[in-house]
Amino acid sequence: MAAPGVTVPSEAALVVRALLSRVAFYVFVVVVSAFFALPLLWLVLAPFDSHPNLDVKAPSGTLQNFRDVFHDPNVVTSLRNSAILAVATMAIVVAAAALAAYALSRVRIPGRDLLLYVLLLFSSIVTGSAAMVPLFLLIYDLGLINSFIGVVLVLAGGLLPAAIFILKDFMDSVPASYEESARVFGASSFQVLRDIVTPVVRPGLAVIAVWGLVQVWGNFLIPFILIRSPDKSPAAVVVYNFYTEGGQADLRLLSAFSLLYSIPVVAMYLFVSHRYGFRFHGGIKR
Amino acid sequence: MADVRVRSLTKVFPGGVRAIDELDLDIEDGEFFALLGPSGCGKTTLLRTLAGLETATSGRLEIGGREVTRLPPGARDVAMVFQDYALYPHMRVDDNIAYPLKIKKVSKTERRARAAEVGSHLGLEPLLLRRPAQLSGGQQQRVALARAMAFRPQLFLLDEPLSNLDARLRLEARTFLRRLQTEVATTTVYVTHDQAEALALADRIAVMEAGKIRQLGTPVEVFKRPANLFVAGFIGSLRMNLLPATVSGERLALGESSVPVPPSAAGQVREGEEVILGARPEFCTLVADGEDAIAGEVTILENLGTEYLVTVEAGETVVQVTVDEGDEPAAGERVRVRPVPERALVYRADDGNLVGSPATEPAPVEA
Repeated sequence: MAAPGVTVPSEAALVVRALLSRVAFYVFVVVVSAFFALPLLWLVLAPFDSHPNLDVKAPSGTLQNFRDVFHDPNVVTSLRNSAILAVATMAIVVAAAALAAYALSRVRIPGRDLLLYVLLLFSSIVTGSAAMVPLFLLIYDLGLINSFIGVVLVLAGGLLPAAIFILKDFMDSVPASYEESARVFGASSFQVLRDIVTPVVRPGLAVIAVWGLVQVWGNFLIPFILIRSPDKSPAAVVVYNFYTEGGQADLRLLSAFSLLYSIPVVAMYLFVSHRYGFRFHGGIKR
Repeated sequence: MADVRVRSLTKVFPGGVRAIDELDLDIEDGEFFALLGPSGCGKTTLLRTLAGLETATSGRLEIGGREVTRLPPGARDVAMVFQDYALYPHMRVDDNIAYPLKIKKVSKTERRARAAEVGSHLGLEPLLLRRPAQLSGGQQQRVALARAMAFRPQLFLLDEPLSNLDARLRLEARTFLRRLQTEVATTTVYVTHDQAEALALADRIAVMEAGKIRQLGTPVEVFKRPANLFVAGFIGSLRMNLLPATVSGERLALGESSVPVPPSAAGQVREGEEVILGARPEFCTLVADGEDAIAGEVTILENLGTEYLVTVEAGETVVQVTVDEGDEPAAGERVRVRPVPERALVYRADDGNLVGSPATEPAPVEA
């Protein structure tokens, strides 16, 4: 095969080179994964250790940390508060985004796409730290400080633009003839939305719902600023309060609570992955 | 059961496209009426305007003696079958068929009964519990028809319902559709760009171009006597020969050759007038010799199965003729093509209208 005069590497050299490049590749992968895996490993191991520090080490295997964390009266209420905030915000976001995205997808108005991009830009501003002072003043003037309604409104407002943006794509993919045929048979706009469009875009609604839940569950800044009393604080804020009398972070309680706090999100991921199949193998329809 | 009356209907889209231009049309009760034309001629817009999915810019629409020009789509008592069938993917076949009845607030028992009845009539019984995605194209098309039929509208609107089927299935579905329409005897407006489909199915055809009707007539009329060059070029599986000629005495001169003026145009053309001779390949014959024929050389032979399509070049003139399989000449042979005089047509070169046919000649259009 080889042209005369050209030195061809021996077969053995080729095998060694292939082997080395594979080894190098896996070393690289291991180093990169370690950055992500170590904190997670700590999260799983530290709660079961009687004296956790910031090292990842084999736990002593105690459940005392969990018993202690449940002694704190704010722990159970905070998880409940998080759930209330997340579900309420998610419901508002899904309902409002569905209506808005449907309208934006169907109605031809000049500058529609510009409007959408401006909305998307706003979404990062509303819940960003730059808007915290005006937001606080606004909610204060509305008398909604230390109320769930205030937090839900602000969070929903922050999530809506991106939700509308994502859902509009789903709405656009519903063929116009579905709706037109229903309209010719006499369906009202509401019937079309309820009977035809909503079932067809259900995967999109599920995406928004899960995304909204996770966003609210993990949001710290908004409830931290707008909620005053500890019995109304969600889990993300309560986690901030686990200090020892000496002002040191109490890693025993902190780690145990963190694990409890992350379980619903992981559970939801597993559920969604099982139900709707957001799996990470291949992007091409088989 | 309804007739349709369209009066000076105009539809101008935002941006200024005149999709329908001052159109008048009467469709009789129970008629199978085809709107035929190339894409962009306004046929689908006309259908959608009948359905109420587009609002007419001006003019008047009546369905069953009731003015519907400004009525919303749901109030017109029409059913439409879409090109992509528009079956709801999340509903089973029986729910798809029954959905229009649900909107009409028909009781659940009656909905089920009617869906089952129409379904079995269209041979869908074993499929009623499936989802649309589990059906073949032909089955989906029948479900779409069933949904329209179960609604029992006074007017069916079909938008190219066969164009998504493959060729063999399309022929089957065509026959099926014709039989179905004869049975239910509901007025049907059918949009197609396929002239063969329109000729095979329709009681009458409107051939459209640029938002206007260029000819309105039965399939036989439209096929035998296309009213103008546009229709002549559009109708027919094989394109009609349209040969520029000059009137010279009682004859039409085509380059070196000449043929007699066909009886249909006799006495209605002026000496020296530029005309177009129209003769379908099927209505031409190959002759060994004779004066009344176009002499030329065979250049291409195409096998059509039972026939050959022979292309003959005579100087600038190219003429095609069909010859029975077995009688075909060889390529390069010198032959003579004789248009059958009784079937030959003459069009005026200036406006493209058929000569000598007051019945099909459109009324003069005012500028």
